[in-house]
Amino acid sequence: MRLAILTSRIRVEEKLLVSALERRAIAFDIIDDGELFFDLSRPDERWRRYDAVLCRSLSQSRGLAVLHVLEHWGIRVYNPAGVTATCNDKLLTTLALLHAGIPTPRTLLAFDAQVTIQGSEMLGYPVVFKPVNGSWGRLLARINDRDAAEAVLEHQETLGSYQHHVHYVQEYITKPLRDIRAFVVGERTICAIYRTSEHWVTNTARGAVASNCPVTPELDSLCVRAAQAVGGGILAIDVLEDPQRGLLVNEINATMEFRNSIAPTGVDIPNEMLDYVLSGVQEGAMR
Amino acid sequence: MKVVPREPYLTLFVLPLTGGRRAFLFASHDLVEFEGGTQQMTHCPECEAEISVQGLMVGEIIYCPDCSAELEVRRLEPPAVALAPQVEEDWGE
Repeated sequence: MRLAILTSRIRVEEKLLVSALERRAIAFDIIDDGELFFDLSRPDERWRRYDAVLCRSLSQSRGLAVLHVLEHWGIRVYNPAGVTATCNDKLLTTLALLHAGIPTPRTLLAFDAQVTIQGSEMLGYPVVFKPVNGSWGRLLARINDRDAAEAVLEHQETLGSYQHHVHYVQEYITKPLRDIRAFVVGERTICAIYRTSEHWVTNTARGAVASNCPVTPELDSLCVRAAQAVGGGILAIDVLEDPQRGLLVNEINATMEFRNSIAPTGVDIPNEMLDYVLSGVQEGAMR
Repeated sequence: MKVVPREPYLTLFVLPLTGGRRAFLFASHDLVEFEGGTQQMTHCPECEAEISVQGLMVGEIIYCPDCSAELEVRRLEPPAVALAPQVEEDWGE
């Protein structure tokens, strides 16, 4: 058994995974995505030495590109390229959730600034503008009125790249100063945390505080269904608590960070991830 | 990590003073050897402070103790660090 861990830089999460691999005496290599190049029509046989490649790239575009190539060459990867592509793109995630009938905040898509304002007013302020691609709560904007909408849209259209000219507008959910981050591995919600913040953006990358969130049957069922909606694997599901509608799935992350979630939940997340990868390798070997 | 003390040695420090004068200072150190080789040092590309990569992994981010520059460990043998790249728009989970 030999694994490859694809990285852009070594975060706490990668060190925890390395420790878990060492404790289990599993051979592995750390591969820096910046040093890779691929001759696409000539599969590099060196990849064949790995039973699986776990993508932990910080760069979503690099990670996804590598996953596509390795899958094309028949290498087992986690998460699969299709799952990662869906999760990296908020539009594709929303469409996958809607297709599977998973409750999610109402979302609009528009391309023209004036049309986007009309759509925002149809939803009713406040609304949330999000880049279709992006993470860590970056470039989210809560739009409280038409003035703010006009200002942000002008900035996006003047300063932003073409990706920022695709306007993804979500209803604002009046959540209780927190959201839920649930970790799904395979067909189980292994644990969940509340992310609590005075700020409306509740990413731990933005300073929210993590505490244990009990995994109720309702939360487990919703999160497992949401994970399956995007193809399944090792996924972090962001859930909002709507006062009227209950739990709504907001986003899904394919290269999840978990450093703040082990202590409050008591769950050994890196070991759970490895269990899933190893069982997938063993099942693949038996076929 | 096993630390093995070795023979002490002396270092001469030359301190510049006003008026072109200089002060000479001898300091005694215990040279320590870590399991697997001598402690690996390199320099901060921003301020040239000494940086140890002992116990680190390639790709880890560290902060220069002198100038606080964010540094990425690029190599362990021989040690090398570089200014860490700025956060890119596609970075995340």
